[in-house]
Amino acid sequence: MVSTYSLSTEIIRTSFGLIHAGGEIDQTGLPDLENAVKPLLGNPALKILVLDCAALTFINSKVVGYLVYLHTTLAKSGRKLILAGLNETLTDILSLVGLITILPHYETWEQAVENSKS
Amino acid sequence: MNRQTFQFTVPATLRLSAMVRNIAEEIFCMAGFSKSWCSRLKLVVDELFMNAVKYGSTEMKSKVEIEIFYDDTDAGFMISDDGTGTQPMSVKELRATIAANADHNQITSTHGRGLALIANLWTDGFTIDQGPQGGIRVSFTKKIVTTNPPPPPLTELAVGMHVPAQPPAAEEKPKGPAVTVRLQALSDQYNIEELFTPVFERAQSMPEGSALTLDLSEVDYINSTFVGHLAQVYNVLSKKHGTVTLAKANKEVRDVLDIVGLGRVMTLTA
Repeated sequence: MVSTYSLSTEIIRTSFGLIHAGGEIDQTGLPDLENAVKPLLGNPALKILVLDCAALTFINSKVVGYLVYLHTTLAKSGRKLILAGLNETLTDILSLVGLITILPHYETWEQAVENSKS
Repeated sequence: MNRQTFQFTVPATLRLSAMVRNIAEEIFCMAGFSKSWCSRLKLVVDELFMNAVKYGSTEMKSKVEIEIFYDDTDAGFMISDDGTGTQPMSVKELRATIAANADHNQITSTHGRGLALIANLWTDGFTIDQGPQGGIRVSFTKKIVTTNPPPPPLTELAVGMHVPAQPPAAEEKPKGPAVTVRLQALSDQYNIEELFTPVFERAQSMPEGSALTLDLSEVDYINSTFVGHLAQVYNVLSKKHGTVTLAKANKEVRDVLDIVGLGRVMTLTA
């Protein structure tokens, strides 16, 4: 059994990227997440990146570490990472390291889009 | 109930991480743990397996031995490698590394088996000794917990926390009282709650438009938990149109605050 996960990217508008992640992402799935994020990071017009975690059931410390990197990288250039749809397990893991208080997060990605319009 | 024991040996490859952690989760659920605790222990198992493969084994050549048990009151997990990894550590070195990481809350720093935080917080006993294959054996035990842990205390306050692009304008001076609180140095992760409790209480009791200054002159370093608590204090006061100023932070602390974005919502002063 290997880790099963899904990733898809949407551009809501030029300044707003959205990645839907599902399943279990660990070190084996992380390169694919990085590859999905890379073109968005390289787009200077992008201001907000939303990671929709509604279908995500597990992340390990490697992915937590990547989220820290992603947040830091975006924040340094005045951009923002927003999480959406965190389940209890993910909230628990992110709370453990204090990330839950640092990263803005919403119940759904639609709410994240709506609240980030201004 | 008699003790139930499950033993298996798997090739050392990270491609089997999902299988190992999901088997462990299933067994912990059979033992009677609540769903949340099964999820937590699943993460602990994932970290241990990753470390055994990555640091204590030769990929696809070595084998990793695993044992999971439970009885009426306790459950446990044990994993051993053959010590042939690219970054082999002695039992003594690994204990020292984990003890060092435990002081700095570094779950994300897995280099060098940085699993200290979850191991300390989510298990009852965590041991490291010499394994039967010549490498390291790591094991943990946990009293069976049938109820879910309380929800994370900071979640509700953090939901929808908006970070303005610019710091508050200079003319937006608070109209309430100004209070300065000096924070003590962190000695370990466990005194953060103790450190912040009076700050929360003070923030909650302050009237509309108050200005709270946190004097950080005695704080040598901060970690993610500390930052989380700062964010909580900020949320409490911002709801009352108050302000939070961080004073006398050293360069290291300022760098962390800038990186996580708090430098843009709180005023930093020398």
